[in-house]
Amino acid sequence: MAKLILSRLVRLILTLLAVSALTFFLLKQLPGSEIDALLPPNAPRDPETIALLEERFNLNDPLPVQYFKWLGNAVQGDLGTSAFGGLSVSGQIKDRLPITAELAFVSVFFALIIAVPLGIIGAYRPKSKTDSIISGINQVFISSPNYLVAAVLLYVLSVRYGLLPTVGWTRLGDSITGNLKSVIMPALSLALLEIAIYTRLIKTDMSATLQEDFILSARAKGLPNRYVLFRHALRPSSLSLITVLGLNLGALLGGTVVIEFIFGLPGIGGKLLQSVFSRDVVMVQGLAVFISMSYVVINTLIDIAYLVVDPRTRSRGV
Amino acid sequence: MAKSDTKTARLVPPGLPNEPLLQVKDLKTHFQVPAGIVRAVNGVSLTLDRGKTLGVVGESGSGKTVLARSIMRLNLGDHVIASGSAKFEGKELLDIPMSDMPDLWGVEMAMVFQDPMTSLNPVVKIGRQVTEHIRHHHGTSKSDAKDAAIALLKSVRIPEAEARFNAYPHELSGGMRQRVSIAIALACGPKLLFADEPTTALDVTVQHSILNLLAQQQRERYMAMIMVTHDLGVVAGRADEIMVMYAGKVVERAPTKTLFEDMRHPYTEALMRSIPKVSERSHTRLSAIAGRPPDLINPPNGCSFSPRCAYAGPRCFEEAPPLVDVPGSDHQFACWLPVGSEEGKEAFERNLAARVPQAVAIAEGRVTEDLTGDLEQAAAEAVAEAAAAEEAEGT
Ligand SMILES: Nc1ncnc2c1ncn2[C@@H]1O[C@H](COP(=O)(O)OP(=O)(O)O)[C@@H](O)[C@H]1O
Ligand code: SF4
Ligand SMILES: [Mg+2]
Repeated sequence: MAKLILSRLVRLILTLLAVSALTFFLLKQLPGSEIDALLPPNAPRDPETIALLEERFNLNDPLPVQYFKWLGNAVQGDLGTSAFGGLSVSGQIKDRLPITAELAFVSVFFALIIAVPLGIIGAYRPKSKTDSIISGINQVFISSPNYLVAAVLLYVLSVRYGLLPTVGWTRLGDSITGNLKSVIMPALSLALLEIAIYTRLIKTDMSATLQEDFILSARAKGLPNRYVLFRHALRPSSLSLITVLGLNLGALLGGTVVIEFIFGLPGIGGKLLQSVFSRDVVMVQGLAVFISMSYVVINTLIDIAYLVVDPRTRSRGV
Repeated sequence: MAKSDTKTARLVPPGLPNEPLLQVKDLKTHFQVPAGIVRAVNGVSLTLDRGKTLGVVGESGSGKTVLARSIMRLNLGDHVIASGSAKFEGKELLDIPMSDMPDLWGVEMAMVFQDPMTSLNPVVKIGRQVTEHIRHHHGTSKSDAKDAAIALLKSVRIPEAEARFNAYPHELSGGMRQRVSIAIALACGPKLLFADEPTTALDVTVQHSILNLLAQQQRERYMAMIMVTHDLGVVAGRADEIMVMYAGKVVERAPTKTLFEDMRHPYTEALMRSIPKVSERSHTRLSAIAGRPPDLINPPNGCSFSPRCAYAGPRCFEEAPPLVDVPGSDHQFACWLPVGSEEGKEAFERNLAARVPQAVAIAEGRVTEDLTGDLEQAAAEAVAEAAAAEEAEGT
């Protein structure tokens, strides 16, 4: 097991290298002069500044050399400094990631604690009244875009009843309740669609598992239904859920532009969008690398989760 | 074999009531499916005493598994229609609320399933699977349950039981997994064990040792056992009594020795003929009996075995034979023209003369699996022709 995890980690590092190189080289291929991209549009373009920039970004080196120099800095946590206001990319990530990550994890957490029981009920009592109610609600969730959900929540919870703040973010360090209040609505807006998807996944996989012989044999031992469902059926039914969970988390860590915008959250998605519009190449490049990295890391975690959940995968080798 | 005689002679331990452990009367389990009603178990009666073994034999699809599950009430779903009576220690099982059944499962009666590759949970360690119901039913502490489980694994002869306790099912061979399944079934000391084709999915080389293990455990625990199999050879030396099933019904029932010496039903005879040689007793599907197993949704008129029977006469296609006693003997069968009787012999000769394929096959002593074509059709036609010819000749 430890050996398998180690091999996953080695693979992780190789993938990280490949992904960072790919992102780096692709962004170098953008049309237009690099100096133009590095300078704010209205900045003076005198030879000294240009020489300084070429020096600073190693633009006169061959591409591979540029990459390795960049990589060397990146490994030390330096993803470059934007020419716009001199913001460091890693500083921005450090500032904004906690918000984006909290939003991602809280929404997935909401989705899981609601979807798993609903999916199990749907599989255990298919075609029951409860099941049809759940399916109906899911149908609504699946067809509601998150900005619509956000608008409804904002109207009801903030405007109408004033229970929660409309916009802005209170950091966890400043106030725990304030932080909770600011995360609830955005997380819920993201969670509804996830609830619908996860419920279906669990229900489908669980229905198949419940047909298995080992479920009947567990029942025939006189174990209570609830125990059979949670101890015997849930784990073998969670593999597709884990996969989708990973994809979702990866996407959420890249920032959720619309939700961040609606709730005025200073997250990663908003910054990325803003940098694209202002043609802040350094920032876009740094964030792009970071986002691809999070995908790769999450994927590795998913691989490891498979190993934990299904022991049969452990003997299938690397 | 002599083994069954010694079993019969065993005394009931003192203190146990003398009533039968299990009494089943006219038990029916039908399934409502889109195509109609599957009469999987269609009026079965049986009696089983404590410590005894009943062999239930029949081809695949004859309703053996459904019967075993019906008694345990393990046929789950809204499409199950159950009726009749099954009394366990005098208590009507069919009247127990479904929610109370789990209190009996594992403790009073348990089941060993056919395929140990699928009946153990692949993501749960062996140890938990052997201990969880001990802990649930008896409230045993974790460490006591572990000790009990390891003793149990040793008693079903699993080597390195301590190490296996932490293994997952896929790390064990098929034979070992079935030993684990047996340990699980025995864990709470059931009074009645159902073994549903416990060796069918296993390699030939381990089948014997598994059957012997079951017999040994049963003896030591004074446990009653219902051994379900498609292979008469499996229960020959091991059951006190044998019940032959066809199309959801009992077609013959007798103490093992009587059945083998004096079988009356043509289907029993066909099963006997299809017992695989010891050297090749593996995954026999009993293709040796000509023709298709019966359609349980639209059963044939008359005797359900008639389309495939080498003895069938005109009456067989019209009227279903009742289960009757062999006078002065603990032996029942359901057949109009039984094996060994004068009428049976005549019917067989007549069918042979008419070249009814299954009769020809028996006469030539060859296995009938190489017979092709629509046998049922051919058989019915041939029998009708033979009868017509006889009529024409005049009596
Ligand atoms: N849950 C079920 N729903 C519908 N039909 C079933 C079900 N279980 C068994 N059957 C049908 O009942 C018949 C008898 O099956 P079974 O008892 O498994 O036969 P055997 O064990 O003798 O091979 C088969 O035709 C099978 O398809
Ligand atoms: S002889 Fe007739 S009654 Fe007897 S088994 Fe054959 S078909 Fe059925
Ligand atoms: Mg069966």
